[in-house]
Amino acid sequence: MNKNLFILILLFSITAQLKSQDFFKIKGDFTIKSKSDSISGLTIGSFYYDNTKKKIIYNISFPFPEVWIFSDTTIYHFKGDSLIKKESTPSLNEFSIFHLALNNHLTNYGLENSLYNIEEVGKEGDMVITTYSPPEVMNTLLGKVVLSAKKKRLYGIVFLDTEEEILRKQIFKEYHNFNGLEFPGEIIDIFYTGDQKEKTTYQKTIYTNILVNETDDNRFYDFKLPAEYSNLISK
Amino acid sequence: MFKKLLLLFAVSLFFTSSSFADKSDFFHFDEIEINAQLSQLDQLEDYVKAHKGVTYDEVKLMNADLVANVSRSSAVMDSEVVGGPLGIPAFVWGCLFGVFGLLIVYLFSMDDKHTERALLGCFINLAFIIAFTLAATLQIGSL
Repeated sequence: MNKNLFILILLFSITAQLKSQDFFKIKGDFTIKSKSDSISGLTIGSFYYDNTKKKIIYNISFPFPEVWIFSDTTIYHFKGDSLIKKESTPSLNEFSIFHLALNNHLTNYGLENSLYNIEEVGKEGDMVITTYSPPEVMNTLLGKVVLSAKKKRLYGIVFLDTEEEILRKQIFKEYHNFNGLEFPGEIIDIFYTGDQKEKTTYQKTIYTNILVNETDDNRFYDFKLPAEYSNLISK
Repeated sequence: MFKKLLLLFAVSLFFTSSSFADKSDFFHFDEIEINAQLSQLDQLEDYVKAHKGVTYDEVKLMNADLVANVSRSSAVMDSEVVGGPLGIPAFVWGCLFGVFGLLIVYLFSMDDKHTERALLGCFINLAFIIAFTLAATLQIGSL
């Protein structure tokens, strides 16, 4: 009897532990600063993502109050009560940083489920570096992607062109643990454009006040489109 | 024989290490330079966070210097660079949408001549594969 009770308690504990690793919602605040040539940009707001609804909501407060909803294959832009723009997009949400993080795929950036193939893996100092190459049929158009991880966390990703020049790099920093979910607090983006890649654009995204699996406020996670939104725009 | 194998192994190891030393260089970046470039926005950021709900136009009215050379557009989607929307990696365009998504990313990042050549190469390759597959299928079908 005691042995059966012990097994039952053990199974319950394991199940409880597994359930606690089930992340389905994330929200937080963001600040993006960017600089390209002589023009800078500042965007401040909040984001919401529900793994079951698969909508990304950006509630922007600066430069102007706007709500952007990335829903399946459409992006909706709202200003106040008005839908000001609607545009088609590839279905991106399952490959957003939010979805990848909630589903524990952030370490490989979702590349393992993509067209790309692992070309080589190696270790350099504290980094594990994986090089992904495009399918052969596309190697005249697409370059390789080089990904690095430190302590099993995504550290950086570099996109190369077909001549192995850097097009873009992203660095993921300041990871914090939110009840078992690891999420970067800072992402640095560097873009190289121009004929000789002489033009550089910098972008820094800071994420703060991250909440995971919040149950209190569900309004923004499943933003209703398009008519029922009037009372849900930026506070 | 064993010594030769050992030497070959050591040489291979050396070259492997060297090539990865190069790849780690990809992840170097000048954080001081980046922070210096973005430091112009620090004051604006502080001001906006201290005045909750203030808009770009209101800041311009009250303190135009803070928004000098600052875009009126949000960075979420309205970007000239291949950054992709906020929080969504540019690579996303290719990951889920296959060939067409990847094309979107690279088209934006390459000059016209390069894009044209690359696209042509890609389509020629595809055409060969389709033709070869078709021929092979017909050949098998006729057996």
